[in-house]
Amino acid sequence: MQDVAQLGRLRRVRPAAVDYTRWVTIATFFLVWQLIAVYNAVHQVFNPVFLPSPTMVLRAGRDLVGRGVLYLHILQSAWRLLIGFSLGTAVAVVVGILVGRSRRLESIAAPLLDLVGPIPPFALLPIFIIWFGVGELPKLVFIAYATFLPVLAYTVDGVKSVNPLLIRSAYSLGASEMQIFRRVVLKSALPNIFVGMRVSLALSFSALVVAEMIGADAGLGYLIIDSRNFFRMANMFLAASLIGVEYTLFSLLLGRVEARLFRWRKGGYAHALER
Amino acid sequence: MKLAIEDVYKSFDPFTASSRRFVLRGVTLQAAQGEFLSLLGHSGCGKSTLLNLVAGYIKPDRGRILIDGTTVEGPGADRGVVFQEYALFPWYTVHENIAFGPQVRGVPAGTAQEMTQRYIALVGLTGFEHVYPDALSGGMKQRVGIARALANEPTVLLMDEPFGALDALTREAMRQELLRIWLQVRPTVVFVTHSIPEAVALSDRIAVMNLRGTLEGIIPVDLPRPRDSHAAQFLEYVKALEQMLMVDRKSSATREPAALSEE
Ligand SMILES: Nc1ncnc2c1ncn2[C@@H]1O[C@H](COP(=O)(O)OP(=O)(O)OP(=O)(O)O)[C@@H](O)[C@H]1O
Ligand SMILES: [Mg+2]
Repeated sequence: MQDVAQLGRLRRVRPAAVDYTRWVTIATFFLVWQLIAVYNAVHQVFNPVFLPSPTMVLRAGRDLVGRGVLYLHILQSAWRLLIGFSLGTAVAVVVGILVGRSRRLESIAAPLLDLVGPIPPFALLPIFIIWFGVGELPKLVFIAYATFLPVLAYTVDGVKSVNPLLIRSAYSLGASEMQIFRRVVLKSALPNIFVGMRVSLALSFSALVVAEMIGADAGLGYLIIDSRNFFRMANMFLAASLIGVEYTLFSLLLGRVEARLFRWRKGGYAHALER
Repeated sequence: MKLAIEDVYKSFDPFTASSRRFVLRGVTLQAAQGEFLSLLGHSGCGKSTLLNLVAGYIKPDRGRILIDGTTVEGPGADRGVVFQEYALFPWYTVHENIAFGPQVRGVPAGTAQEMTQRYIALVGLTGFEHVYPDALSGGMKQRVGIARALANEPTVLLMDEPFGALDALTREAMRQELLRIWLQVRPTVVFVTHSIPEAVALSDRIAVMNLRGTLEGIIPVDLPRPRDSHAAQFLEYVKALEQMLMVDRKSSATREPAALSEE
């Protein structure tokens, strides 16, 4: 009986309290924006055209939906990003593993990367367009290229830092080169590869917007440029927000995949102490 | 002979160096089928080096190593290895770690599953199949390490200070456990340790290595198992081995560095 009595005094693992602060902050942000815009519309502190209110942005969205074009822009951008990002990541992982495994390849690749690495991808977009024409291809290649470099660097790093003891034990368990690659090298480098993908995701989105601003006929980046030409501020705010939403969704998706893949992986600061 | 080490030399210095320090200088040693052989010696005497040569991770400069009469050319599934640092795959559960060997060798899924389950039971980890290594204690991790090596049914089991990272109590328990498993499965074991009582408690024979890179001697332990570590005979073995190692300590303090110029 004493046991039970004592149990009552045991420290319990508390379920995480729902954090309302977050939502309050977000709501306040839009509220303040709305108030400023409405106040300005009346008192004309600055030209009201410069700052549409959130409700005006929503109305602009409704109009675009009504004309049936908004989904098109959203899907076009999402699709481009998905293709470009996947392409860049896939190529970077394959190249990164080859380079990370062979010292010879690394000594060839390293100076090349030092050469092109410092050039911001955006500086190359016009060249890409001249090379690949004005169609879909240069945009996809451009997004893939922006994704490629960070993922490559992180992949090489991940492959190089595989614990050699794990490779030894895999050999002694009878694994072939290919099995060691799949079951040890890749598995061990995967967390690093995902860090590279996170870094790249932001770059890919920038590349997407820039590519769509230059010579596209659909997509959220195009919507921004098109709206600028007609000075539709609300549409510009809308497109920018939707890009943010898309980024958030992609980032969440990546997080989901990571959580699934790395269930084995505990550690780091957050796991050092129980609180 | 299950395992034959024949006149093995090993240096880590480049071949071109005018004077090379040899970690192993003409080591010859055999292990019979099912024998429990320990390598005992001071830190830095080359125990791990010898074990890594047998495992096939590194190559001898001279001499050769034979398993069942075949020269070792590289690592292989016939020689299971248990590491002091466990070296478990952190992304695999206990079950997946132990199933690794049977799977990569292409054992049919049903059989692999059955083998894995059997070795999990053998090391007493039933109930922990789906736990990741991160969540295991040191002793449990090493049980996984042992089960993983055994699940491949190697002809020789190489263990490099497998209990080195464990506390005294766990270490004692793991010794008993290893002995039980060894008596049940009967692999040939080469066991590296620098604990004298551990070597006496476990081994059929103890190869004592010195800091000059040669064998100081081979001591057969003629005691019935299980062995009582407080029995007079047990302590006699311990004392004899202590003396052998002590002599080495003294002589090594004054000895020249074990250099051998290229002939
Ligand atoms: N990869 C290496 N490169 C250079 N020297 C090495 C290497 N591995 C081992 N040595 C040297 O060989 C000698 C023997 O090392 P080894 O690891 O075999 O000793 P050990 O008997 O296992 O010692 P311990 O009990 O501390 O593990 C040491 O002097 C060490 O410095
Ligand atoms: Mg060692």
